[in-house]
Amino acid sequence: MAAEKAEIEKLKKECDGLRKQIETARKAVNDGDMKGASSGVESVGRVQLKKRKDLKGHLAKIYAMHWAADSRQMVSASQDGKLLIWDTHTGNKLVAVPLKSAWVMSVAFAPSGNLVASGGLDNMCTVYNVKAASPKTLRELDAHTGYLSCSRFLSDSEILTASGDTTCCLWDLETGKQKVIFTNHIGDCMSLALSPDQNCFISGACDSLAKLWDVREGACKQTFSGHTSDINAIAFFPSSNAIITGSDDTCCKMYDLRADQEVLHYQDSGLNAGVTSLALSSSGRLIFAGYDDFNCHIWDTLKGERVGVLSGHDNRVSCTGVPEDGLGVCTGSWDSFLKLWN
Amino acid sequence: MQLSMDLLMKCFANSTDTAHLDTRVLHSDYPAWNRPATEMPVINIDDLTDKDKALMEVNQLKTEIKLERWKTSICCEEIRDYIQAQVDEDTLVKGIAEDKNPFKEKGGCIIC
Repeated sequence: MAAEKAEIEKLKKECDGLRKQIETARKAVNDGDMKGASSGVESVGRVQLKKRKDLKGHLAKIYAMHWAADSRQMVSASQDGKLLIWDTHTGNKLVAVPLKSAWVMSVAFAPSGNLVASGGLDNMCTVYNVKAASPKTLRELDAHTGYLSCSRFLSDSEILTASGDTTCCLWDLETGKQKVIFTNHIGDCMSLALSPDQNCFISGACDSLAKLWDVREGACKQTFSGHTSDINAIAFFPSSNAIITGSDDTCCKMYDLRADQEVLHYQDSGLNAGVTSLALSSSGRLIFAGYDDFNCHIWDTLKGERVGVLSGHDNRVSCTGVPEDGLGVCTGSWDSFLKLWN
Repeated sequence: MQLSMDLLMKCFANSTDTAHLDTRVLHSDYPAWNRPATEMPVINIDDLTDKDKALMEVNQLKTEIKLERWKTSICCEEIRDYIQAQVDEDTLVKGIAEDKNPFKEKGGCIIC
């Protein structure tokens, strides 16, 4: 036992040494941050969006939402045990999918619009065909040993999942088997985002780290630290060269992938609530971040300043999403409503 | 001639007795879309010892240390330029005309 302990101490010392070297390498290229680069950029001024629609229909807390690729349909998941697919232009509900397990935490729309996936405390990712006359279960992906926190389709035949068992997984929907397992986090994985070219993805976890992975190889390519609590939300910047994270430590951060470090953080001394979700506007100029304080705050990505707020929910904002055409933003809340703003 | 009970039993033995048959269902019996998923070996974090976790971290750091890093000033300028090139088409920044707004509340009267 003592020998084992000594070995672990030796490995930990090695880790400390390697981490110091990485920090030195990062400092060596740190010759300016995002604020500095944007000093000459015009301010966006106060961003005042109007609430355009209230989507009422769920009977309990909403935990997740995801826009369809057509920027018109949207799926939401609630612990009332239902997924609802909405036509956001009319406000009508198109499809209701009853769930076997009401403890849902994530939902995703496939790019084709044919499939949706959901999962939660059942540790499974269930995929439904929503184009059939009535929603039909296509697959039950059952191998995670912890809750399903997030899922994203690559296509109708592949899906990525993130789990409380600290792993992420790429599944083949034709066989229902795991293709690649991504292991490196030491805390529950809470969120994931796929790069626009689908070659890599990023994950945020309760170990306060964000990681960049190669989808096909399964390897973790880069690790981003700095947060001091669970990372609940993560997104790619539209150019794919940077990522934004949101955490329980009340901060959002932008990390540049090529500089391998944080280039700006979004924090306000008046904001003491954790970040639950985030989404970017189409150019990337604005970050919409949902917080535990019942609001969705709007940040100027370049200057790090808070420029607006979406107020109206009566409970925590649990999910936020901007559709591909960038024409609006949707917020979902524990108050059981979704709101559309622009 | 009287048939013995033994012989009778043999001739009329229960032919539905299937205990000797292999009752395992073949994988190929399932239609392709609904085959039971075979479990891949999963690295369960709870099974990893402290030493395994430390080793995993060392190996990961050894990979990451090799990365070639760009100057942050150049990276930030690129992000800024990307946004500037797109921001004029960004509805949430620039606003949207009422008649082009797909989310606007419909209804109301038009007085002719």
